[in-house]
Amino acid sequence: MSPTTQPQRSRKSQKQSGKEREESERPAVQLPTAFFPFARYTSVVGVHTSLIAFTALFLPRTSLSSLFRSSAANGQLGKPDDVLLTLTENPLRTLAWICAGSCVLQVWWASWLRNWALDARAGVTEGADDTTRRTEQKLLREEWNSGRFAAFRMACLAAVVTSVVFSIVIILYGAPLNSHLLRTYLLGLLVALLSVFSAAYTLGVPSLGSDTESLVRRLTWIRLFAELSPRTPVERAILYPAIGTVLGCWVGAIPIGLDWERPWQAWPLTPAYGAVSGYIVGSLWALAINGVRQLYEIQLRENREAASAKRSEPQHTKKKGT
Amino acid sequence: MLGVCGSPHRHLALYSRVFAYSTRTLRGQLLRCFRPEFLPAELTKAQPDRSIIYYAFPDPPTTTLQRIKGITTGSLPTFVDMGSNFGGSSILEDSLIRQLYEAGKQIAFMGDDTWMSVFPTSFAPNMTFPYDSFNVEDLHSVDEGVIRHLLPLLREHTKSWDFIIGHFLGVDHVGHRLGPDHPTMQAKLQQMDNVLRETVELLDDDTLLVLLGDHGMDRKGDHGGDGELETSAGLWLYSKTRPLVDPQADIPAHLLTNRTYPGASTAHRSVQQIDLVPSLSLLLGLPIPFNNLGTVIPELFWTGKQATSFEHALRTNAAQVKRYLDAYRLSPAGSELDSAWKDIQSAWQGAMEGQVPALTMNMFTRYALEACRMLWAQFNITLIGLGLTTLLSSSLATFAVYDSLGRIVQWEPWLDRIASMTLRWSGIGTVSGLVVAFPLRPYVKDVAIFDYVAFGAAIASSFAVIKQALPARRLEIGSISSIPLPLVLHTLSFMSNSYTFWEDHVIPYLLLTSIAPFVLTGFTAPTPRLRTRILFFSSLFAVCVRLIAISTVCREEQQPYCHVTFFSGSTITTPPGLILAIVVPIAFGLPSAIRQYLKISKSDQGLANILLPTIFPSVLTSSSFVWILEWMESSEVLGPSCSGALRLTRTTLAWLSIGTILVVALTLWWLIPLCIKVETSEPAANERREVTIIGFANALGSPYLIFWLIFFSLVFTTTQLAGQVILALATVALLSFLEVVDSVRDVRALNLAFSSSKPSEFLAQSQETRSTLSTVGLRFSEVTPIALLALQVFFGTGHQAVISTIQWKSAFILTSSLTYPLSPLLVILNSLGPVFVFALAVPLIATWNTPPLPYPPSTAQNATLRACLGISLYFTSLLLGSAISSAWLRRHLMVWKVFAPRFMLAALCLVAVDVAVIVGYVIGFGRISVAVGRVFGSMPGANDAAKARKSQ
Repeated sequence: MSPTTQPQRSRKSQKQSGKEREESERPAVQLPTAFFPFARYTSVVGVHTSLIAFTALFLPRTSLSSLFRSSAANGQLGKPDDVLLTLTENPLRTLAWICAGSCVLQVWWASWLRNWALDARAGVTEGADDTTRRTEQKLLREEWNSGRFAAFRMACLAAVVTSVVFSIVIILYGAPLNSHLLRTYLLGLLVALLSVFSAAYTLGVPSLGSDTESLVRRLTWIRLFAELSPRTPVERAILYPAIGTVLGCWVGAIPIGLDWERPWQAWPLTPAYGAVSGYIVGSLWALAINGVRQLYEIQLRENREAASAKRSEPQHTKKKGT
Repeated sequence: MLGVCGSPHRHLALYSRVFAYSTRTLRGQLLRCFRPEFLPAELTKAQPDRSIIYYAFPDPPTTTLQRIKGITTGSLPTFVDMGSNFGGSSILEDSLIRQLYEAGKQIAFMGDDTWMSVFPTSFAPNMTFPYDSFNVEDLHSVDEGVIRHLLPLLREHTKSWDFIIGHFLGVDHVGHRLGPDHPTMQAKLQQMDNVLRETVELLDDDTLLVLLGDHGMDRKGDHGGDGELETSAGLWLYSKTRPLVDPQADIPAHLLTNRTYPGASTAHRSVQQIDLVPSLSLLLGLPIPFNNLGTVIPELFWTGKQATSFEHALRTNAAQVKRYLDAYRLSPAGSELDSAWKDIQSAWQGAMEGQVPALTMNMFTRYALEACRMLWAQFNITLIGLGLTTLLSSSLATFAVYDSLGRIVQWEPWLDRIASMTLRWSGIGTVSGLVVAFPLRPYVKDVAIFDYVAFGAAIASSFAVIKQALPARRLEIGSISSIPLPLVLHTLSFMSNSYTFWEDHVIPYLLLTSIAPFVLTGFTAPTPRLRTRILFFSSLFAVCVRLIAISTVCREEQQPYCHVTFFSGSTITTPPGLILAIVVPIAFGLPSAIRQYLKISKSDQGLANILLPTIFPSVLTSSSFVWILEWMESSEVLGPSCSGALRLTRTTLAWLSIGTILVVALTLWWLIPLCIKVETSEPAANERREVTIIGFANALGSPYLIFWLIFFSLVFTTTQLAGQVILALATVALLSFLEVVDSVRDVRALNLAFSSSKPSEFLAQSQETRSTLSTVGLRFSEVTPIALLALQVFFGTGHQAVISTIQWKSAFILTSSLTYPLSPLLVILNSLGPVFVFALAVPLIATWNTPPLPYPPSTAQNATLRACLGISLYFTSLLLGSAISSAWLRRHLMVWKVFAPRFMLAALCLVAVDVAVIVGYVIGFGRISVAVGRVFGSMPGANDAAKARKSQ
C-alpha cells in the first residue's frame, strides 16, 4: 500500500505536466480533443458510486442475507444500532456480500470504461461524418469486441492473482498470521476488485513479453501505478479510485487499535469500509478533475478558434514557441 | 470503602472485626454520600457517639494501586517503589493486612483486583472475589459482584471472617466515563446508599464499619495527581451499638484539624487518610505496621477528661514512627532525610520531654509525615514546562542542523562556527539563568538554581542554532510529500493509551509504510537488474519485519488479545521448542549470510575474510549455547546433579565469547579495518603497472559493518534465545534495506541523468566509482526505517515499555551472583542494546556502497553526520511526543501504567541512540576514514581524477 504522500506529489507534478501539454501540444496537433462523454460519465459515476455505497451498507442486511443470520430478531431493521449489529455480527458474511456486490458492479463499470477507452482511442467525435473514418472505427471496434472475452478472462485472472498478493501484503502489514485467513483474503479480494480489475479489463494485463504491445502495456501500468501519473481521462478514472481504495484500506486499519471494544472494530471491517469509502472518494475526485480539465480545454479551444478566426497575431507565435 | 469488625479482648483492641469498604472515587462522591439524604449523615445526626464523618486527605499520586498501599501500610508509596522490588507490584513491606494475616485473622476480599496484585496470598481463598478493574466501560459488574458476595458474608453468623474488604468501582468508573455530574452518578450513589443501609442492618455489635474513598476526582471525573479535588476524599466510621466517641471527651482543639472542602462554606473535621492505619491497628489490638507515618485519630481513643488512653496509643504510635525513621536513616537512601533530620531529632526530643505529651508527640508524628512528604515528587508544572521547552527547542535545533548540512556546500567551517556559537550561547544562557533565578525564586517554588542554569544553557544554545540555521530555509508549502508521515503518526500515537500499549503492533505497520515509497520507485527502475534487486530486497525486508513482529511478551493491557511467543508460555520463561531447534544453525549461519551481502560489492575481503568465516560464527554460536545451557540448568533436563557443571560451562562460554569480541575482533578491526584486497598485475613491457582494488566500491561501508558486528555480537550474547533469532532476522532486514537504499539511489541518479542535458557523462562512469550519494543525497525517509527497526527489535527481543519486562536473567550470564558493575551493565545491554545497536547501524546508509574517493570522503562524512542527526531527531521527537502526552494526561487513569513508563523508555532510548551515534561517528567512521586515507590518499592520480569528476 502506498503512503499518502504519493498522490499529492503525483497530482502536483501531473498538474504541471498537464499545463505544459496544453500550452505546447494542443496548438500543434490540430486533432479534435479526446472523446469525453461528460454527461454520460457523470451519470455513470454517480450511479456506480451510489451502488457501491449501497453494496457496502445495505446489501449485507437484505432479506437474502438475513437467511444466514443467527439471531432471530430481524423485524426491527432500520434502527442505527441494529444496522450496526447486522453489519458487524458476522464480518465474514459482510465482507462476502461486499465482494459479491462489487464484483458485479466492477464488471459493469469496467466494461463501460473499456468502451470509453475504445471510443477515445478510435477518436470518436460528436460531429465526425467522414465515412472512411467511420469504417476504420467499426473495424477497430469489432477487433476490440472480439477480444472482449479473452480480456475479461485475463482481467478476472489478474484480479484473483492480485487478491492473493494483496492478502500477503495485508498480512505483512500486521494482519493475523494463523487466524482469520479467510477474512484477510476477502479483504484482499475486495481491494483487488476495486483497484485492479477495471484497470486490467480496460488496459489489458501487463506481461513480460518483449513485443511492442506488451512493452507499451507494461510501461502504461508502471506509469500509472508506480509513477502515479495518468494522462487521459480514462486513466484518471482508473487510477484515482485505485489509489483511494489502497489509501482507504491503509487508513482503515488505524481505528482497530483503539481500546473501544466496539463490534465494528472486528477484523477486517474498518479496512474494508475504508477501501470502499476511498474508492468512492477517488471516483468522485477523478470525475471532478476530469470535468474541470474538460471545461478548461473547451475554453482553450474556443479561445483558439476565436483567435484563428481573427487571423494569427504576434501573441500567437509566442504561444507556439513555448 | 473499608469495613472493620472486631470484639474487645486486649486493652486497646476495641473491635475484633473490621469491615472496610473502599470506593474508588471519592471526590467527594463519597463526600456527596455524606449529604443529608444519605445514610452516613443521617446516622451521624441521629447517633453522634457511634458515627463520625471525616474529610480524609489522600497523598498523591491518587491512583488506586498507590492508595491501596497507602491505606494498608500507612506510608507514602511512590510510583516506582524502588526500595522493595522491581518485578511485581506486590508489597513486601509491613502492612495492616500482613499484621492481620500473621495474627491468624481471616480476611475476606471482594472488588477491584488491584488488591490481588498487592496482596496475592493474604486473603482467605474461599472468601476472595476479585474483579477486573481497568474496564472503565463497565460500570456495574464489579459493584454487583461485591454486593453479591458481601451480604451473605455479613448475614452468616458463624463469624468465619475477621476483616472484610469490599472495594467498589462503579462510582469511579462513572466519573471517568461520564463525569461527576452525570445522572448516572446519582443513581450509582443511590445504589451505594442502599448497600450501606443493608450493611448497617446486618452489622453486629462488635463490628466497626469503615467507609472511605481511596481518592477524589477532578471536575472531569479523573484522578491521579495532586489537585485539590483529587485529594479530597471522605471517611466514615460507624459502630452499631458500642459508642465510638466519648461525648464527655475534652479534646484540645489543636489536635482536631479542620479543612474546608472546595466549594463548601464551613470547615469540617479532617484527618490524613493514612491515619486510619495506626487507628485500626490499635483498635484491633494489632501492632502498627512498621513504616506507618499516620497518627492515631484522637476521638477514637480519648475517653473522659483524662487523655490516658489516647496518650498510650499515641506513644505507641510515635515510638513506631521513630523506629521507622531511624531504620530509614540507616538505609542507603538515608541521605534523603539529611535536610530534615535535625528537626526530626529535636521534635522527637520535644515529644519525649514535653509537658503535654499528647501535644508534643502529635507534633512529632505530624512533622515526620511532612518531612517524608517533601521527598515525594509532586507534579511541578514549572519544571514540566521548562523540560518540554527544552525538548522542543532541541529537536528544532537538531532539525535545523540536519537540514542545513544537506544544503550548505562548505559545511565543515559552518559546523565549526555553529559549534563555537553553541558554546558561547550556553555560557550566555547559564549567566542569564542565574540572573533570572534571583528575582524569580520567591515566586516560583521548587526550582533549584541548578535548574535555571541547566535550562538556560540548553534553551539559549538551541535557539541560537535555530536562529542561525533557519533563516536560510525558505519553508516551501508545496513540500507536503517531504513530511515524514511515519514519524508524525508515531509521535501522535502516544496521545492514546491504546496505541501506546499496542506500540509493538503499530511499528511494523509504520515500518512497512515507510518502505512503500522504495517499492514504488523500484517499479519505475529503468533497468531490470535494479528493479529485481529493489523488489527482492524489499520483500525480504518486509518478510523479516513480519517475522520479528511475531515475537512478543505481552503486556498486561494487551490481554486477552495477545499470546506470548517469546517464551513457550505466558507463565514460564523457557524458550519455545522451535527456537531451541533453530537457534544454533541461525547463529552459526548468520555470518555467512552477511558475507553473501558483502559479496555483492566484492568487499568480502581483508578483515571480513578473517572475521566472518571463523571468529563471528564461533562467538555467536557459543552465545547461543550459553543460553541453551541456561535453559538446561533451569529446567533441569539433565537432572539436578549437573547444574554445577552447566553453570561453570556457560559462564566460561560467555566470558570466552565476550572476551573474543572485545579483545580479538576489536583489536583486529582497529589495526586493519578495511575489507579490500589490492592486486598488482605484473607490468607488461611498455605498460604501467596496474593496481586493482577489490572491494573498492564499498570500502567505507564494509569496515563499518564489521565494526557494527562487534557491538551486535555483544548484544547478541546478552539476549535470550528467541531474541537471538530476532536479532539475526533484523540483521538480514537491515542489510536488505541497505541494498534497497543503494539501488533506489541508483534509480534516482539515473532518472536525474536522463532528465539532465548530459546523461552520457553520468552513464560513462563505471558502476564502481559512481557515487550516487553525492548526486541524490541522503533523505530522512532512509533513516526512518532504521529507527523503526530499532524499536521493533526492542519489542521483538522480549521487552515492553513496562518495568516488569526487564530480563533480570541477563545479569547473571557472566557471574553466578550479583556483581557490580557487571550485572547492571549486562541488564542495560540486554534492554537497551537492541536500540543502541540499530542506531549504531545508521551510518551504514551513508557509507554503504559509497566509494572512498575523492579523499577526504567529505560527502560520505556529511551524509553520516546527517544520518546520525536524523535518527537522533526521530527519537527526540518520540521523547517529545511521549513527554507531552504524559504531561497533558497526568491525571489520566493510566498515566502511571502507560504514559509515564513510555516516557521513561523514550528518554532511555534517546540516551542509547545518542551514545550510539557518537560512538558510530567518532570511533567507527573516524577510524575508517583515517584508514581509507592511508590507502587511497596516497594514490594522488586516482584521487585527483575522482575530484575532477566530482567537480564537474
